[in-house]
Order: sequence, then C-alpha cells, then structure tokens
Amino acid sequence: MSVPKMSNFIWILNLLVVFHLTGFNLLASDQVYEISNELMCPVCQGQTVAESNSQLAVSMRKVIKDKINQGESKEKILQYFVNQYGDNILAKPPLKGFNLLLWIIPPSVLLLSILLWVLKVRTSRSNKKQA
Amino acid sequence: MKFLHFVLFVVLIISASSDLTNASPSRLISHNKAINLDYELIELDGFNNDQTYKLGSLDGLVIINFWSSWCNPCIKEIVELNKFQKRIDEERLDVKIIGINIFDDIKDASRFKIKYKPTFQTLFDKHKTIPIDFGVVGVPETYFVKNNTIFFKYIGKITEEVLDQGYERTKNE
Repeated sequence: MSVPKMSNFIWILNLLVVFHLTGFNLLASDQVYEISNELMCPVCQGQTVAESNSQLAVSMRKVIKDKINQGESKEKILQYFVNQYGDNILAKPPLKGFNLLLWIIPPSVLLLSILLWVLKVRTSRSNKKQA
Repeated sequence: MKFLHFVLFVVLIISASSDLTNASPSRLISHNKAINLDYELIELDGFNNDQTYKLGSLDGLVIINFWSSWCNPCIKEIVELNKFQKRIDEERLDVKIIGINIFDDIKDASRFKIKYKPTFQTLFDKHKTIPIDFGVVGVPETYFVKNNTIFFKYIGKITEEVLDQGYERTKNE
C-alpha cells in the first residue's frame, strides 16, 4: 500500500480551505440574494431588499445572512419579516384578503369595459339599421 | 377657477405638512408584539465606548428611542427626551429611557453624544440587526416596551407630552 505524499495532503487541505472560503460563502450569498429579492425594501420605491443600498436594506440582508448561518429555512426567514413589517414586505404578496381584490379588480374592470363597449356598438348598429 | 385650484392646493399642502410636523399622542400606534431583548450593545460614553450593556437585563417599563447622528428630528427631540428624563428622576417614575443609535458610525454617534448631551442612557447597535427585530423603518422611532412586549410605537420627532401619554398608557396595559 502506497503512502500518500505529504504534499497531496497539503493540496487537499488547501482545496478544502478555498472551498470553505469561497464556495460555501457563495452558496450563502446566493441564498441571501434569493431571499432578499423576495422582500420589498420598506423605505424605497419599488426596490427589493436585494437591489437597495439603503441602510435598512443593508441591515435586512445582514439579518437574512445571520438566519441562514443559523440554519433557518427560507420560509421561516420570510415569515419573520412578515411578522415585523406585514404582508406588504413580500414582493409577491399572498393572494388573500385585500391583496386578492388587487388581483381580481383590474381584469374584472377590463372585462366589464369590453362588455360595455360591445353592447354599445351593437346598440348603435341596431339603432342605425332601424333608422 | 384657476385661483380656486391654487387655494385648494395651498390648503392641502399646509394641512399635510402640519399633520407631519405636529407631534400628537393620537399618533401613538398600538402594537402589542412580543420582542426578544437579548442584545448586547455598546454603551456610548462619548469617549472610549468600551462598556457593553445587555438589553435583556431590563425589567419593567422601558422607552426605547432609535436615533442616528445624521437625523435632524433626532437632534430636536433630545430636549424633549431630556425633559422627560428629568421628570423620571424628580418624580421617581418607574420607567427607563434608552436611546439606541442605529444606521450609523460609532464615531459619529459619540460626537452626537458629546454635542447634544442626552441625559438618558445611549447605546450603539454593533450588530446592525436590532432595528429589524423591532420593525423600525426610519429614525426617529420610539417604542414603549413592558415585560418584553411592545405596546406602543411612535414614528417621528417625539415630545414630552407624547412620552407622558405613552408611559401612562403602557403602565396601564
């Protein structure tokens, strides 16, 4: 049985250190980005926490990172922010209560407008025919 | 007609601005939210800042004021907070005021402490996470906390009158 050279061990050790310093942190920062991209910055206009450089967004990203390092799931982290700031903190608010109306009203108004327009056109045509 | 529009515009601007600048107890927001106060913060003495303070060690009623050195209303409300601190000392009220510096640099926070001389305890948030746990959006914001529960929140420059109202209402919770 051949004895592995000492230099091989050092190489493996180096690779592990590099993976730990870069690979692991990249994974964590990817998760931070993913979660912060699902949260709206409370003090910005139309920016997610991932996009904003406000001090509040920076603090929120730090909280997300700390919670990921503590092993908390994405759902649990998002729920934590909902508890602090309400449903409006979510970039995609849940389809319930008042939020549901926001989804229903615009297409309903559009459909109703089309229906009214069609009815108006038909009535004016029949009026013209009768005349 | 144009004149009427102009008058309406001016009235709206005046009413909107007066609503934003006038501190009133009616602007106390009822909260009732449990809070984890397990934080170790840096005690601002204005010089060495080498002492730490554990928020979790607090008992009873606490008024927590969040501030920053770059925030103008925070400068203006120091006088009001100092007045209420004087009342706490003189009337031996069962409440403590703690000012927590957030979104800031410790050097700027120290300069603020030396320049504006808050007479209440001031701490520095080294973790940068405490505002999120409270649900802070900006500065200044003031929270009335009793037994690890936030009962009231006030956004904007606070006055002695609002502090008194917040204290009385939280005491009765």
